Amino acid sequence: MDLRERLARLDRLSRPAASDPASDPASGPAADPSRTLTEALGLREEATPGGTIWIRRDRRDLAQAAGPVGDLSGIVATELPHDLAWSEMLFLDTETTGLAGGTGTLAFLIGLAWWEPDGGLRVRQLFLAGPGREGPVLDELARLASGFRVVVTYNGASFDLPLLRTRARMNRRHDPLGGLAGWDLLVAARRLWRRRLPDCRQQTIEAAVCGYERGPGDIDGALIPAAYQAYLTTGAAGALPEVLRHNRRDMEGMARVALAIAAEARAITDEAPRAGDWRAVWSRALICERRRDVARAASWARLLRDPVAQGRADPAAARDAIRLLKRVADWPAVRALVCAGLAHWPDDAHLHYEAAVLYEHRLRDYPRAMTHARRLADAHRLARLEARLARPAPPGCPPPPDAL
Amino acid sequence: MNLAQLLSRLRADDRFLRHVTRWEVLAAEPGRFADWPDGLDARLVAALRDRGIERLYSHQAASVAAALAGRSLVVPTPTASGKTLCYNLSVLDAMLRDPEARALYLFPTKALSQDQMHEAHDLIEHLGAPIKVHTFDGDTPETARRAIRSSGHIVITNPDMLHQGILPHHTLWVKLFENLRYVVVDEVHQYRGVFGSHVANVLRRLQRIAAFYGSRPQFVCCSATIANPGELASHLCGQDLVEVAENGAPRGEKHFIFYNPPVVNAELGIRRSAVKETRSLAERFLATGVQMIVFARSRMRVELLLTYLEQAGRKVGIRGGEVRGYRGGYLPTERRAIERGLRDGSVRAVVSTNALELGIDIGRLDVCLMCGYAGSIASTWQQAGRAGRRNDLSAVVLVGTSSPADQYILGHPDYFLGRSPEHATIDPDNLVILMSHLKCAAFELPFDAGERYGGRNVAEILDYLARQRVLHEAEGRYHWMADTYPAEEVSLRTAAPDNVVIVDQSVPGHRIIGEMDLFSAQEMLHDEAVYIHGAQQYHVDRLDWDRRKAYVQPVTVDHYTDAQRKVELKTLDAEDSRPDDHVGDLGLGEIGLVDKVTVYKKIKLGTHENVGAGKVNLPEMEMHTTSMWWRLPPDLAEEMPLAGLDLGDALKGLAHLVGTVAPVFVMADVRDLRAQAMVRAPFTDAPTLYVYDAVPGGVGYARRIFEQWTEIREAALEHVTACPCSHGCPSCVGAVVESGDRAKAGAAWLLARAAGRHAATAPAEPRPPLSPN
Ligand SMILES: [Zn+2]
Repeated sequence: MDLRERLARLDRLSRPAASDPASDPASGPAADPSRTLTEALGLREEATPGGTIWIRRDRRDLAQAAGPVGDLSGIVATELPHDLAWSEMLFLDTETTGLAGGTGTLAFLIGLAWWEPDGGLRVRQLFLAGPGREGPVLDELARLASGFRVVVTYNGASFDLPLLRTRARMNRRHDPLGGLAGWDLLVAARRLWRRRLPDCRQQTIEAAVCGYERGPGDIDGALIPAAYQAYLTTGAAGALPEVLRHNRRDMEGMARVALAIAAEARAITDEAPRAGDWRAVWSRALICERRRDVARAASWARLLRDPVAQGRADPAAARDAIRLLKRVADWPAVRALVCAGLAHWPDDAHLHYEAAVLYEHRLRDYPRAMTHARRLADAHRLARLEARLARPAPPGCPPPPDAL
Repeated sequence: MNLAQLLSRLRADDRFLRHVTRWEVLAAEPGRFADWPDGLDARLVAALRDRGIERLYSHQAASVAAALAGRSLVVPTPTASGKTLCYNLSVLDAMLRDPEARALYLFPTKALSQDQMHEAHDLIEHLGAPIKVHTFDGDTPETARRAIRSSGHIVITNPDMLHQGILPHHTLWVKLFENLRYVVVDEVHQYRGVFGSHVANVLRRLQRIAAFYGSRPQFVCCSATIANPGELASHLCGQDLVEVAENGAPRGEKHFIFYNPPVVNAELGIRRSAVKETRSLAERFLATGVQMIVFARSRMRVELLLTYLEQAGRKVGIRGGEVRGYRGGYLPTERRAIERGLRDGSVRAVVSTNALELGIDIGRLDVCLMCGYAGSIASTWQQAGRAGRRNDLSAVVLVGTSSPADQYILGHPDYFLGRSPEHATIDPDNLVILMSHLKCAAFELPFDAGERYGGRNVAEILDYLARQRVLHEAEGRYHWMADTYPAEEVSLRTAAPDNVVIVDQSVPGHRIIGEMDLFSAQEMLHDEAVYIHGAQQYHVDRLDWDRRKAYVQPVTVDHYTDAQRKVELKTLDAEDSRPDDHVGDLGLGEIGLVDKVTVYKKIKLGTHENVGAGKVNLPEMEMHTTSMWWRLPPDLAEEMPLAGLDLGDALKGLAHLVGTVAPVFVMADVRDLRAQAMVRAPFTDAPTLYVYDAVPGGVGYARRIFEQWTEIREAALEHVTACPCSHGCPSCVGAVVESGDRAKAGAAWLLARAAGRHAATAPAEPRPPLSPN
């Protein structure tokens, strides 16, 4: 029996395929799909040394912020140039044939954006005409990227950038973004807003922080791979115009989020700490700690006392505030937070621990320390405290401060 | 009493000897040595001398010499024959010359990987070279992975991890693939059947990727003793290899005793419990002060024997911690402690599953008891190899269970002791398996039109996959185009991509305890079935066929279930044929099976009584596979009754018999093969025996049986003639209730005719009715 028959039989035996693109592949690609496709997608064919590529150019009226980007330390995961200018950033977002990762996933659309020195956001989209045409696209990406210092992405550190590195290796090329530092906005967004938003997806941040609404008709990300597959089988644009528009919106959204992050960074540095949304206060305190500005971190942390006392904040915020205030030895504030915290969360083991340490070592109030050590069933500490109680205070040792 | 005294006492003990089917004394053999291979880096020689190794065994030297000459090779390495030096020396030699050189080691299990890493570390430490060895498997922490990818010189992993975790991400492993000099494949004999056919494809993909990065690695394969290590390894690696023949490791005198417990019920083929017999033997050996390992086939038996031995040990002054159990499910630290205890002698006896059959270093012991045949001759020798220090006396006892395979081996020790009859078989071109890996390969690198894969033209299959829109063909290349990760959907351990998942619903949140192919699932996981997994019985509450899920919960019941399969067999295509020596002719080709499980029986454990039945409602299954067949002359139907025989019974018995004997020759599990006979097969228009692969598409078993038919037929005749039952039992032609009372005589008669002999005995009288007691 020949292979063809066996394959036909396999077809019959296999269960119906899970997904079947609506289009009929038997009809084949349209006569000259590229003309209508480029029109439908607004693409221009351009000759490059490596071959023809398809590009779309746009401009968005979104002004860059005045002055340099400013100090982002503590907010970004990697080191960024301290004198970075807004026009030295390249925004990048890819649309891919799947989310599985590995060597079999292609980036079929690479969106790029940057601020021209005259203001205004330029957007470029490089579209992959077919899976064998990656070479010139990657070359063009490398050429464009060479004029920038930082590549800005949303979750690109773990998705877009490794994917492009893989594509470059598969096409025997160097990493087209190898010379650029990376700024992943997702990391910054998490540090700044995770505590007050339900999630940190780009569109959530855009809406909640930047007040930017995308408008109707944004394609569901899960449908994007199928749109490209359908194009490959039929040659028709199908849902691709929506995919390109989605990608452009992603670019603009990223630029807005970057501006918002820089604004928040300036607020943390320049403004005097003042009460506000306790979750924002909490995040700011932690950012200052990451910046090793302990004094400023403690100033923000002090502002958590009221929300804790009113039971609005959560115990994790109280614990962080206690840690920061201990570092500046502000014992009255520590005690106030511990007491306020325990009033609301009497079973919080961590707070009992802080209380036991505070009463034993700072306030030398051993009976109170024992109350908390008992709650922790900390036998070692209890034994030590009993010994301390049995022993008279050594001469010259100051009496325990009465109350703080 | 010491070991020698106990052995001579047993030799004089008639009550013991009565059940010994063979007592073989393997004479001591001195080691055979060879000079250091020419060109081996002097630093390595110095490091070995430093460790007290002055010369290499002949097989080690031959392996290193072949590798240094640029060849791939396979070397048979019985337990404790110093196999690691067969590959570590050439690999380290390459790394001393070129610090960028890389090697990949493949071991079938994670435990072995760990052990091998320590082994290599040790030698490298003596060398003082900056060579890094790492294991890379599911347990490797994410934080360590990056460093291993870029700077691990020797990466130790398993085929599953290579398949799912490394090859589909090859761009993260550029250093490894650009500089890949050696691929070490240990335990190649385990890569047979479905698993081996998959692994051969994983190695094809590996070589395809290596070629992309400009490297062409040499293979060093190690194998237990089987009949065809060279053929298997070259098929597996897709290239010709040098076969290192002899093994130069020394051994002391070894007594190999085949012990078959007495028959309790001849009709049902039931013998006295192997566990009990093993227990009493173990007690006698333990009292002599020897160090001992006891192998048992299931975790449950391990625990049972362990309890017995602890009790027995106490009587002779052995403390609790000196007798240990060892099996999967023990913590790694616990296992390491037991291994150490065995090496330093503080553990006196260990009861283990086959987890200790593989190369984990536990030193060498005095006595090995096997409670049941290990399933293949190669594995049995690996277990037996645990006993025997270099110059001392050692003893191995194989205690048979009632299972047909055990009875075959116990009845025919010559197969065991002579040249291995076991041919390991794979078929990397099985269409289902091949296609799965073509998908993975296309995911890894696009295919050029006309590109060969595993040496064959795959254009038609690529076109097929393009029609299925899994691949996209453009400008002469086939690109992966689906939004999935194909390696995730392909398990190396099963034939068909579609499996039933077994869900234990007795635990909160449910727990997946395993998977099973669709065909076996119909038989073993139907509603109300009792399914045995890891020595635990489970009751199948519901089989959700459409969702491919079986919901089970653990139970303890006194019966098991046996589903009755109705099989309709059609020959689709004859590919090869030849006359058999004296009677009929043989064919090989493709068959179609329409399978339906209709009813099941409840059978009582121990007595095998039928204690109930039920209906099964499942859809028909269709399978195509490879079969060999033996067409007998149609006039037998007239001739046999004249001799007082019945053709139907004879064929049923023949199918059972061949199904028992053939797996030994093709290294198959009994479940991998099926034999079925028809009094009048539509295709041959004559009485015909079919023996086929129980795997869609087949993995080469039937082909191998077709080639080795004469040998297998002779073995079947010998087995049925020697079986002590009167009219048939599960060990030979099947129980009388299943095959009929004239099955044994009929099958023997047919086989004798085929061998050109007249039946040795007159046909047996019809069996007298079973007496009520
Ligand atoms: Zn028998």
